[in-house]
Formats: sequence, structure tokens, C-alpha cells
Amino acid sequence: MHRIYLLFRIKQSMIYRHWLSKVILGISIAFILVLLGLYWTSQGRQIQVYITDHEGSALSQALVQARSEKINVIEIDQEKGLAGVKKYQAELLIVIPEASSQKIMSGQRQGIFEVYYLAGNQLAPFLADRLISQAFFEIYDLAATDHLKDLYQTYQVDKASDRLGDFRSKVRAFKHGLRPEYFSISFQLPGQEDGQAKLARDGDSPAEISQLGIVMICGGINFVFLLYIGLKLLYQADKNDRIRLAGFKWWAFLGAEVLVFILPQIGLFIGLTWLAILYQGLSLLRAFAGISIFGILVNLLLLRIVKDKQAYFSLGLGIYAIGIMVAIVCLQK
Amino acid sequence: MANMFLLMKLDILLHGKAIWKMKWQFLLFILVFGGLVLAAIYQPPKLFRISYYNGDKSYEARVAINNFVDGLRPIAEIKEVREFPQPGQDDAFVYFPEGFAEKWKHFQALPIQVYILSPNPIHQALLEESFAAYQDILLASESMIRLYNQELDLLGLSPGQWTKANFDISIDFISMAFNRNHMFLVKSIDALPASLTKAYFFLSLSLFLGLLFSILASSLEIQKKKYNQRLFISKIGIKDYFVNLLFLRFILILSFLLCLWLTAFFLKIKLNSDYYLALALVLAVANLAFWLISHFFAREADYLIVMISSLFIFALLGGAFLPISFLPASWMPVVTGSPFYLTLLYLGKAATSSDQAGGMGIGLVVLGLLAIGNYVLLRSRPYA
Repeated sequence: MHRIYLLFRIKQSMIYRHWLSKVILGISIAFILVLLGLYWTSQGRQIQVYITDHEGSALSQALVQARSEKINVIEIDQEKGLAGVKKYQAELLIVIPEASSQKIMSGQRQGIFEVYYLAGNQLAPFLADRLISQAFFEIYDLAATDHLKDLYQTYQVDKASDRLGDFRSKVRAFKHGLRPEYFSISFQLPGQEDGQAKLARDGDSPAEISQLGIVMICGGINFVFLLYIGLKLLYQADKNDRIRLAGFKWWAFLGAEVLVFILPQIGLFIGLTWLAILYQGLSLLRAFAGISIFGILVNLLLLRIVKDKQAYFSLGLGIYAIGIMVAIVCLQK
Repeated sequence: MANMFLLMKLDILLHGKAIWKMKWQFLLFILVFGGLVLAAIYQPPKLFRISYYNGDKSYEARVAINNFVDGLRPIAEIKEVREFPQPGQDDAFVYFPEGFAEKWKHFQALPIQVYILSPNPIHQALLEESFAAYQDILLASESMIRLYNQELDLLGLSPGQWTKANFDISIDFISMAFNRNHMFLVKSIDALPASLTKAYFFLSLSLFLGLLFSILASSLEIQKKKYNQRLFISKIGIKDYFVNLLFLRFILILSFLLCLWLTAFFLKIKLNSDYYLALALVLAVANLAFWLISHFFAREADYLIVMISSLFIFALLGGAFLPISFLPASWMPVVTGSPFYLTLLYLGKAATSSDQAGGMGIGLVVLGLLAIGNYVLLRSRPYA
């Protein structure tokens, strides 16, 4: 153990002798902490939806007021809204053209509103559906008006416009009574206790492709840093013969190299574990830890089979790229 | 001219040796490229996984459930199950109890049990609010039809006329509820495809490989510095050397583009011809920029480590392996500022439209400036 520790101290001091190594260590750890911290802290943030209202009717007001704790609906000018959507500042822009209410009252049921979102954004149509569902009382009001107008015309009812006005007043004055439940919502399965439900959410969350992206990028930055450390160790390889002659065996080299790789990871994981516990991100942390261990193992292997410094780095990155490919393919199965 | 041919032979030999030396790395990256493109799927993964259990075997229940499920299909993988799911399997589970369809027909409540199991707090809120919004539709329908029926009563219609009027509005309301997505005229904004498609991976990995090969090609300039003394003492002029290098870059870029075009042909990926012009310009600018940077490195290994690791990180952040639309919104200021992403966006636009003259003009100006910069640095070398 003493030999491992001694060799570790020698290799560690040689790697971090130059100030640049310390700077690279600091930047890598800080970058990963910032990226994951941003992700975890923004989990509770609202989703932004832009609305441009050219009509100013009860219908458009109902859409604007469909905001909630997690969905922030912002009224905005159309050009600014489009620019914001392109910059990922909002998921979508809903445009309520002039005379939208008139179109529904005339019997039109399609193409009433315009919705703009980045091609391929899956959340946007879901959000649009959620918002319009909440405005259906006003939409049904307009559709009912359309039916009544047809009815008055068909049966040649006297004073049709007055009757229509009365009907609209009744609708506006209508107060919803006791609302029966059509859907009963719960956050845990029957028979599951609160603790178990929370554990299921933290411990066994299904792999999502968005989590793959987060793990891939943060893991990639960490992997590049580990390759850099591995390369610095490779640069020291010319001294290894003298170290062996001094009586250090292969297990001392292995132990020392493992310690060299693990030490910077400890600092990183202390910060990440605290954030993960705070923001219920343990499943992501486990995946990141897996990539970190994979990176250390790849480096230990490459140090033993690759002698060319150029080949070391690009082979390491190639292995990581293949890992990404396999992960993406597996996630689609 | 004879000098130019000699220089060309030297460069081809050096490039050939370098490619052979790095054959396994090239093979690895081409495997990744091929694997991702061939394994790419056409449909993006869905946002949610929802399962449901149908406890009501009536025909009306099946119709109601099919309409309910069809509305969710664009954004969720939906499957019918025969028992409650295990924790962590799905984002939501819906239990349709026996007799619910008959109750709903008469606007009587028999609650459908919805279990929201997603670990993502945003998705939890979206699912909860969406089911609450579906309830709003049902309640709105019930309220409005009740008010409408009151008006029908006041009109004093015959029973047949009353029934027909009630039937017409009910059908219209049901149709509006189930086809509410048609109320929107969707105008999707051109962006890089957010799906894991062949076209996306072709664009992103072509750029990544092109930049990688440019770095490797420019690293040879550091290796050649040790030949500089012999070259320039043998009276090979700076201009010959410079023109030869530019010509070689041009040949390499052309060969790369030809390989890409053939790959696109075999994969049946149709791209606007402007894409190849834009990519040629991007690679030319990249080559000269990397060549400029290589002047400041004494060791080839140091240059490769710095440049390849920077490229890899920018490419990861910029969507080389996964579209940035799959990344958290809070990362967007960092990600959309990545040079790799901005270049990929430019190439994506060139692949689908022909209006890229402005971008190409700027590119040519930058190319000219980089060429001048490289020439100046070349002249400042010892023995030049």
C-alpha cells in the first residue's frame, strides 16, 4: 500500500506540475457542475408559451388565461414571438387572427388559429392541445351561437338577434355548479405507499432520450478530461523502466494510476451528489458515475496497449463515440 | 512548375503515411458514422409512455377509448395492458372502470382513474393539467348543451325537431372535441430536424468528420516544419509552397465531398446542391483557420490533443450525435452559441434552400483574410 501511495504521489505531482493542468481540472469540474446544476435547478421552472392576440375577444382571453403553475403564457408581438421561438425561448407561438370567433360562429371548425414551433418539437402540439382544451367553454359558446342562428333561420323565429343576445347573456352569467369528476388523478399506484412512490420516481425512472443527451455531454466532457490525464500518464511512460528497477511491481502501477484517475472524480462527485440529493437527480448521477467508471477503465486499458500519443487520444474518443452510438440504438429498441 | 510537382509528391506521401498511421481511428469514426446513419429511425421517440386498462367491454367504451387514445398517439406510446404496471415502467396509467361509457353518455360522472407516474416534475404537471383540461371539455360540453336545451324548450319545437337539433349540436361538439387539433394551422419553423433521422446524422456527422480530417491534415504542417530548412534552401519559393498547399487542400476537400455525395446517393438522401458548396466553403475556412492555429504549436501531439478535444466538446454540445432539441431548455444559451451548432444550422439551411448567397459572401471574405494571415506567418518562418 505504501508503494502504491508513493508512486501515486510521484505521478500526481508530475501531472499537475504545470499550471495548465490545474486550470484544465478546474474548468472541467466547474463546467460539469454548472451544466448539471442548471439542469437540476431548472426542473421546476415554467415552460414558456407565446400568444399573439389580434382579436381581443373572450375566446382569446380564455387562451391567454390558460396559464398555470408550470406553463407561463405570455402575450407578445408576432415578430418578437417568432424570434423567441427560434432562439428556444418559448416552445411555441399561438397566433389568434382577427375574426377567429367569427369563423367559429360561421361554422368553420378547422384552421382557426396559427401555431408556430420548431420542426420536430413534440412538446409544442401537446401544449397547444392543453391550452385549447381549457378554452373549450368559449369555443362551444361560439359553436352553439352558430347552431342557434341556423335554428332561428330554419324555423323563422321572430326577433332572432334579441333572442341570441339573451342566450349570450345567459352563457356569460352561467356559473358552474358542483363539478363532477370525470377523471380522478393520483400520483401513486394503488397499494403503493408515499415512500415507495417517491423511490420509484427517484430510483427507477425510465431512461429517456433527453437524459441520454445530458449524460452524453457531461460524461463526454469528463471522458475527455480523463483522456487528458491518461495522456499525461503516457508521457511519463519513459520513466516507468527506472521505477520498475527501483522495485515497484505492476500492481503498484495499477493502484497508483487508479488513484490518479479517481482523485479528481471525488471532488466532482461530492458536488454532484449534493445537488442530486437536493433536486432528486440520483438516477442521472448513477448514469454519470457509470460513464466515469467506464472512462477510467478505458484509460487503464489504453495505457497498457497504446504507445503512440496521437493514437491514444483519438482511439479513446472513438471508443466513446461508439458508446454513444450503441446507447442511441439501444434506447430506440 | 517542377517544384510544385515535387512539393505535391512530398505532401501526398506525408498525408498517405499519416492516414495509414491513423487507420484504426479512421475506421472507428467511419463505423460510428455508418452505424448511426444506418440505425437511425424515422420516427422520434415519443414524449410519454402511457398504458391503459379497459374495464368496460361495451361498444361505446371501445369507441370512446379509441378516440381518447388517438388524440394522444402523436405524443405518447400507448398500449393496452391487462394489469397495473410496475413502478417506473410508464409515465401514466389510465384505468377505465366498468360502465363508464354509459354514465358519460348522460353526463354522469364515473371517474376514470389516472395515475401519473412520470419522475419529471414538468411532465407530471403537464399530464395532470392535460387530464384536467379534458375534464374541462366534458364539463363545457355538458353546460353548453344544457343552456342550449333550455333555449330549445323556449322555442316550443316539436319532439322530433327538438331531438334533431339536440343531436346535431351533440355530434358537432363531439367532433370538435376529438378533432380539436385541426383548429390549429401548424406552421413549423425551419430548424435542424429534431428527429433521429438519416438526414440529420448525415449532416451532423459529415461536418464532424470533415472538421476532424481538417485538423489531422493541418497537423502535418507541424511535422513538415522540420523539412522547411531543406525545402527553402533548395530554392523552393514561399509562393510555390503556399499555392501547392492551397491546391492540395482543394483536392482533399473535393475528394471528401465526392465521398459524401456518393454516400448520400446510396442512402437515398436528397440534398440541395447548395449544401455541397456551403460545406466546401466551411471546410476551406476551417482548413485555413486550423492551419493558422498550427503555426503556434511546436509539437504535433499537443496540437492534436487541444484541437480534437475542443472539436469533440463543441460537437457534443452542438448536436453532432443528438439534436439539441433533446437537451434541457436551460442549456440553450450555451448550446446555441456553440460554433458547431451555428455551422450545422447554416448547412441545414443550405441543404433545404438556395438563398445562401449572403453567408457564402462572408465566408469568401473570411477565406481571403485567413489565406493572407497564413501567408504572412509562413513568410515569418526561419529559412523562408
